[in-house]
Amino acid sequence: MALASQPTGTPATDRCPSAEKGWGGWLSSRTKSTCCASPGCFWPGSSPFFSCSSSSSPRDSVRTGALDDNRASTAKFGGQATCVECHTDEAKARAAGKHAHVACEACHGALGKHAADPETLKPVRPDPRTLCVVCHAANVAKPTGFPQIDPKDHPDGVCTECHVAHDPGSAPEEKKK
Amino acid sequence: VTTTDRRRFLVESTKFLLLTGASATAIEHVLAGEPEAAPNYHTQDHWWAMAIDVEKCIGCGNCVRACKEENDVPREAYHFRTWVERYHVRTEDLEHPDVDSPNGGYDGFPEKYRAGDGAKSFFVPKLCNQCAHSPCVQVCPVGATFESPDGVVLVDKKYCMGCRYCVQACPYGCRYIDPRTGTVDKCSLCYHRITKGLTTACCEACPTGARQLADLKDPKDPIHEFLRTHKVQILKPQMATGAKVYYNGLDGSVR
Repeated sequence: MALASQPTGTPATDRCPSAEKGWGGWLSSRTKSTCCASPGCFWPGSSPFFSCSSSSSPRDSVRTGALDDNRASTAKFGGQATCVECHTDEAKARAAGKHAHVACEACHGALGKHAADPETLKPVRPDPRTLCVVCHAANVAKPTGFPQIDPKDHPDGVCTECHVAHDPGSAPEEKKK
Repeated sequence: VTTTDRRRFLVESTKFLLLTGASATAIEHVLAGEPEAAPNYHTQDHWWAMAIDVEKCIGCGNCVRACKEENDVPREAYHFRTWVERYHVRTEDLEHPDVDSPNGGYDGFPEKYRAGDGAKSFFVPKLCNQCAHSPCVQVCPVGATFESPDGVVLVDKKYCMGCRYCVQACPYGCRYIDPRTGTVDKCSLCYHRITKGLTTACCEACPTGARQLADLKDPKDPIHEFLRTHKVQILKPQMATGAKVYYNGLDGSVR
C-alpha cells in the first residue's frame, strides 16, 4: 500500500492535473465538466460518473475567511512549554523520573487560563486516589509492561504517601529518613 | 496553481499602485482572509498528519476529555471528535471482535474481561483521519467542508446547512451534528492550536505518547523516523481516502 498522502510541492499536485495546469485547467475547473470525466484521464480517483469539482479545485468553493474562523478560538490547554517557563522545580523533578513524557496538563487539566493570569486563577491540586488510577488501574486491555495496580489491593493507601507524583520512582522525603 | 498566481498578481499590483508599508501588509490579510497571509504561519509549509501507537494506548480517556474540553464538544455520549475503542478478539474468530466504547472512553474503561480468557484485548484511539481525498468533502453540496492547503479537513460553519450528507459519507464515523447549532462538527486537528505552534489537545493530554501530531512537510519532524522504522497502517485503505492517521501495531480486526 502506498502512503497516498505524502507531501508534495503543493497539496493540490496529487490531484487530477488537467484541472491544475494552464488556462484550460482553470476553465475546466470553472465549468466543472471536463476534468475527470474527460476520456483518457486515468488519474487516480478519477471517475467519469461523478463530478470531481470539489476535490480538483477545492479552493473555488471555500469561503474566504473559513480558515481564519477555524483558527479563531482560544487554546484552553496552555501547553507543556508554557508550564515549565515558571514551574522549573517541578519540571526538573518530572524530567528525571518515569513521568518525564507526561505533560503537566495530562494530570492537572487544562490550565491555559492559569497561564494567562497566574495570580487570580489558581489550579486545584488533583486528588491522588482518583487521579492515579485513571492510568494505573489494572485492565487486561492495557499493554503488558505498563505499571498497573488493583485499587482493591490498596484500600486505604494514598498513592503519594509512597510515590512522588512528579517522579514516581523515588520515595517522598519523609519516607527516605 | 493558476488561481493562486492570479490572486498574487492582483494583490501585488494593487499594493504597487495604491499602498505602501503597513497598509500593504494589511491588504493581504483583508484580501486573502486566511492564515497563509498571517504572520509566522504559512499553510504551504505544512502537511498535517497524526501517528498513533496502538501498543502505547492505555485507554485512560485523557484524550477524549481533553478534546471535549478544548473544543467545547457536547458532553453527551453521541458526540465525539475523538474517542477510544476497546477491542476483544477471540483467537478462534479473528474477524469478529467485540468492540465497546463506553461513553467514547470519556470515563475510562471499567474492567470487563479477565486475563487468560483466550482472547486479546487492546485500545484503539480514533479521530478524523484528515483524508487527502476525503469522501466528506466530495459530497458536501455547498462547499462547507474542505481540505485546507495544509492538509486538514475543516468545516465552514457559516456555510454548513446541516444536511448530514457528510456524516453518512465518512467511512470512519468521525462526524456529528452539533445539537446546539444544527451544523456538522468534527475533529479539526485543533487547527486553532497547531497553526499557533501548539500540539493538539489530545496529544498534549496523552500520558504515554500514544498519539503524536506530525507535520509531514517538516523534515525535522520525528514522524519521518517513525514511518521509516515502524510497520504502519491506515484505517480502511481500500476506501482510497488518503487517510493521514498512521497506526502502528494495528490489528487486522480493527475496522
